[in-house]
Amino acid sequence: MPSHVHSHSTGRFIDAWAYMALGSIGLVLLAGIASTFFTKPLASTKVQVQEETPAKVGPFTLQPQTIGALRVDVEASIPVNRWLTYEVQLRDQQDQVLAAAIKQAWNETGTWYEEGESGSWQESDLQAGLDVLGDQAQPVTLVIEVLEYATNTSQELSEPVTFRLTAYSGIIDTRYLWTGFWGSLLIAILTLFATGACGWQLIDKRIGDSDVGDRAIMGGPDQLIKVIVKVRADETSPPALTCHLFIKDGNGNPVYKPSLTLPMRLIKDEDGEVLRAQGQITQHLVLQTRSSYGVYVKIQPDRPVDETRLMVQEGRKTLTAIDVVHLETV
Amino acid sequence: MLSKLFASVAMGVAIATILAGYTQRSALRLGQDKQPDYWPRRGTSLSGGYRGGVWVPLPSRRGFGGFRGGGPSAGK
Repeated sequence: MPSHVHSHSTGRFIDAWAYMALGSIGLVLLAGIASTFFTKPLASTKVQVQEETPAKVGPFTLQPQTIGALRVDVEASIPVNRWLTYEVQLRDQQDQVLAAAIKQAWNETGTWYEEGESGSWQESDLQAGLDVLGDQAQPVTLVIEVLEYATNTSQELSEPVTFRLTAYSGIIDTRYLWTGFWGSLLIAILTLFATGACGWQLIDKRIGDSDVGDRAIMGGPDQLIKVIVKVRADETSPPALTCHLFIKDGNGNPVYKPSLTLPMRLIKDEDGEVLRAQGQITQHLVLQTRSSYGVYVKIQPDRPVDETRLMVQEGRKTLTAIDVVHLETV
Repeated sequence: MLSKLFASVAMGVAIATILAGYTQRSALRLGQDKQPDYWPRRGTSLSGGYRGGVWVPLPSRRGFGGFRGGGPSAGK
């Protein structure tokens, strides 16, 4: 039966789903970049607060927002080895508390000893943050109140504390975007693996010789077939072998019989002496008519060949455009 | 096809987290008695709650003096 063979590069078997998964990471990144456009600074100021005398900043108009919220960030600055409990409040025009949150801040230092060595450490947790959403426009005043201020030996202090207060409207919660970024990245990696593992095995034959082959029902215009030949050879292997591949139709007539160069990777020991060699080639095929086909390989020269393995997979998907041999029996 | 399933999940995660971030799902909602999605930022905990839409401070608000600092020496 005469056959028509042509080789071309095609993107027809690219797995669009893999790109959608990658696109989801891009979407989160875009959302992260775009989030900065909605942010409007309302205040950035330093205030001094003493116990019993809260500091007020504002008022600002709290607007109902579809995107983002009102954010209040506060950072206390206190000397080392002090503890500070402070409260961030939102108050309305009648000075009634609308919302309040407490931060237990500290700044400590000390000495560490470990295995005869020592050094000093300093750690602190001084920042507070509150995101607020309101369903009606109203003026709000921000209030910072010191509830308790003491040294780490529980000695009460009445010194004023300096706070840096910043407020924004239209702030987006980026913690979710980070979750989305890492989550979609992880799942996108899984998607790429799934694309690589796509399809099913028709032939997997291993033989301790240089020629191997089998027959299976395969093909169809939309099925990408991948032929993989793996060869293991001894130390006398040349740097490349020739792989004669035969695709035979139902009557046993060869419809495609290329001779492919199979580069061998020489595996050496510490002294640089070749121990063995291995190599692999792949060939993508589209068989226009679904039918029974025989796939055979013969490696030459055959003397160094220890083992030949033939794998034929169908229903493959790719990530990029690939070279495909299209076989049409007419 | 497994890649279809994974890709749909990846897109779902992306869209869900973008929506949650943009709508500030975890912000404090003024005047709402229930705050099921509130997620504190920078270890800042609410010192009260709403009852009938009115802010009611926690009774223990002034009792936060039990705080004894953090850091590597905490609890030692």
